[in-house]
Amino acid sequence: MTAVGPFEDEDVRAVEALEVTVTAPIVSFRNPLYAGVQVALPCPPPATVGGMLAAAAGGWDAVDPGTRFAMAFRARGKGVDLETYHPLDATGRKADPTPREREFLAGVTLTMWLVADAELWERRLRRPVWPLRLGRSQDLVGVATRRVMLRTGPGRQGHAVLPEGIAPAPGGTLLRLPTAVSLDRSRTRWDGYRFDPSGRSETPITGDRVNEAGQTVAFLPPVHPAQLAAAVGA
Amino acid sequence: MSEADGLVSEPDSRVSAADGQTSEADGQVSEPDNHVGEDGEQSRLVLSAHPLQRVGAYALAYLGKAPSPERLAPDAFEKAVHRVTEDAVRAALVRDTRSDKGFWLKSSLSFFPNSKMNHLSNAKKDADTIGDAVREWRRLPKPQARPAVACVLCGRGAVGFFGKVDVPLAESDLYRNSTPRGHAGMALCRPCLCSFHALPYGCRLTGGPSIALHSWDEPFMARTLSRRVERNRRLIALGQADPRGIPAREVLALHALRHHEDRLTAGVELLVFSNNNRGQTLEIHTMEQPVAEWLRRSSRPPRRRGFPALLRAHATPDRPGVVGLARNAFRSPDRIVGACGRYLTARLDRGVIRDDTAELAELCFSLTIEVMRMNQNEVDEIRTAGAQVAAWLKAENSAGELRKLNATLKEQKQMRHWLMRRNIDALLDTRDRIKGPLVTEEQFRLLFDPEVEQSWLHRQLLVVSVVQRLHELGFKPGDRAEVAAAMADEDKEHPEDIGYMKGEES
Ligand SMILES: [Zn+2]
Repeated sequence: MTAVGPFEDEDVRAVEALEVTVTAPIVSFRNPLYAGVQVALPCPPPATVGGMLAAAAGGWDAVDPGTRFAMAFRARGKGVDLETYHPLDATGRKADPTPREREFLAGVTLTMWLVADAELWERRLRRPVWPLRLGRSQDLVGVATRRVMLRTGPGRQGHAVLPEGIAPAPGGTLLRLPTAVSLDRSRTRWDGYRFDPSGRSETPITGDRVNEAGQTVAFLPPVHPAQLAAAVGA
Repeated sequence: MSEADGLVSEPDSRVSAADGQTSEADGQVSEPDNHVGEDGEQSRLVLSAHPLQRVGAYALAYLGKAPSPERLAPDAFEKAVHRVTEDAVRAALVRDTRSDKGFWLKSSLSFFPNSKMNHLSNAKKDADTIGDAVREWRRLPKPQARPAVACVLCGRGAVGFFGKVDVPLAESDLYRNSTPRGHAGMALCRPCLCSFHALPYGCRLTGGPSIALHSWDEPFMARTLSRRVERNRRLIALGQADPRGIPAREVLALHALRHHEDRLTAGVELLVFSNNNRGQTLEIHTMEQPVAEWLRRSSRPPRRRGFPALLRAHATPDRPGVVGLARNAFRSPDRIVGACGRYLTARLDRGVIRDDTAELAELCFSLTIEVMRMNQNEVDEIRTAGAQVAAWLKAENSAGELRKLNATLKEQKQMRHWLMRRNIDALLDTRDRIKGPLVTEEQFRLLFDPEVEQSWLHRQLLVVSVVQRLHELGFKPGDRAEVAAAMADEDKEHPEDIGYMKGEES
């Protein structure tokens, strides 16, 4: 399951990448396995981040099915608040709004790296077709892009979201996160990821690349719904 | 939405599959063609990303005597499912959750509320009617009644849509905000559905919220679930609650770790949940792999020598050590270091070094390296400083100086001041009893520099090192014996802690 980098033929060179920094005051990433209760994930699932990219592009049709990115995520705090849930009663009677607990993350920063079509993504993220949101944020997110150089070699784990299977195993929690969701939302592909919310792990990680700050950059599996359709057909 | 619309036109598709109703007194599976015709797909378990489905799948595997869900053959799967259904029928026939044998029925309320198993109207129904209704609820829908959609968990063909009655923590079908009326929401294949039906066998049942232990480490799941299912099978057969009472939920994880023989490759999650009508709840507590593996190794040979001391360090008069330790392991492993430090220094004010100091100190150092990921060089630096301080105290041979050090533990400024003073004393000491400074500049930095992230941990470790070294040096100031005798009976072990070391589950 180790991610294969897109650079096998050019490992000796540094490559230029688009580094995307997304910030939001409050986000909440729900674990979709539990419908009746709110369970939050400590980082955005790759499928959610993919959805944001698709929104920028104007829909999945505009996104190359092979698109891959690497990401790191940090939250300054977390908490629980109440949100009002308005159930639709299946019998047709009027149901009372019910308060539900919702876990949230505050002061978040998502950093992504895209290598393929960097210029195209730079344009799209500067003038997105649809508004950019992350998780269930009520607010729009702030987006900044810049060009960076990525080198080969090990880097710091820090706040990276890593594909499962990197050896030796990085620190942090092993999570099962949605990688891709089919267009009709009936199917979800789940994969294993490692994430250390504290970002404290100093273990050198051999991902695909490393940025100038020493942060490891590990590309995640493709998130395009087409990947999922192919998997079902197989 | 087209599949969903198709379902709405046939809202009772699962019930309509009941037309072939035969009285199944012997409980034989009546429609074998349903699964054989599909290459057994609807009789083969697959592990999904859903922890509760996985717990149920392991429970079914164990009921079918297979080592893992994937290796449960279709025939054995059918037998296991049959057994789960018949257990449900037997529980339903008790009718009253307050009766002697009503525990399993009572538990079903927090897994399958409003199901045929525990419906209020059952009190007035005869046995055959209840039995038929429960079996019908659990029967595989006929192929023509199935929706042409994939199981949301494993991607194989779904046999229907299911909600809260079958799947804990799914949305109630009373409230459907994203699907049409009468639509239960979750498309599932039969093996995934049956996993949820078998979930109670894999949980610690309390009558209230249930506790499921989950890990992505498959051998750990297999072993832990086999023990749990074995126990539950007996309780479910009797309809009675576990006579051992309900332990602190976190302790279940410690017991499972203690019994596990192989290195853990993943952490352990504790899911405490209830699907009860009065409110669905779910709490997830995660113990990360490093601390889980450290606890596993520490409570088993050859490392286990220090474990009784670790339990004592976490015990309070009204709470066994195993509870405090388990809670720290889930919530904040660094507190384990603090608990050890407090335990080792608890009697320093009376000049007493505990007999179990060496074993506990070693566990403490292994924790800082394996779990806190403290740098080995830094640990060595701290230990060196501790040894120097201990050597100086030994040379002074004064319980008074030890008391003074002890008094600084809560205030880092005082500790720093104490160390600097003794550093100068040692340097100026013409008797030359200590070689070199007590604490080097680098060690001072590790202990007190606000830029050093774990300096508080370093200070805890310094104290542990000092006490450990004093123990090695046989530090016994004059009044030690009488003080020790006076306090001999303070260390009474909790029965639960003794039970833990014997391997009994509380
Ligand atoms: Zn399935």
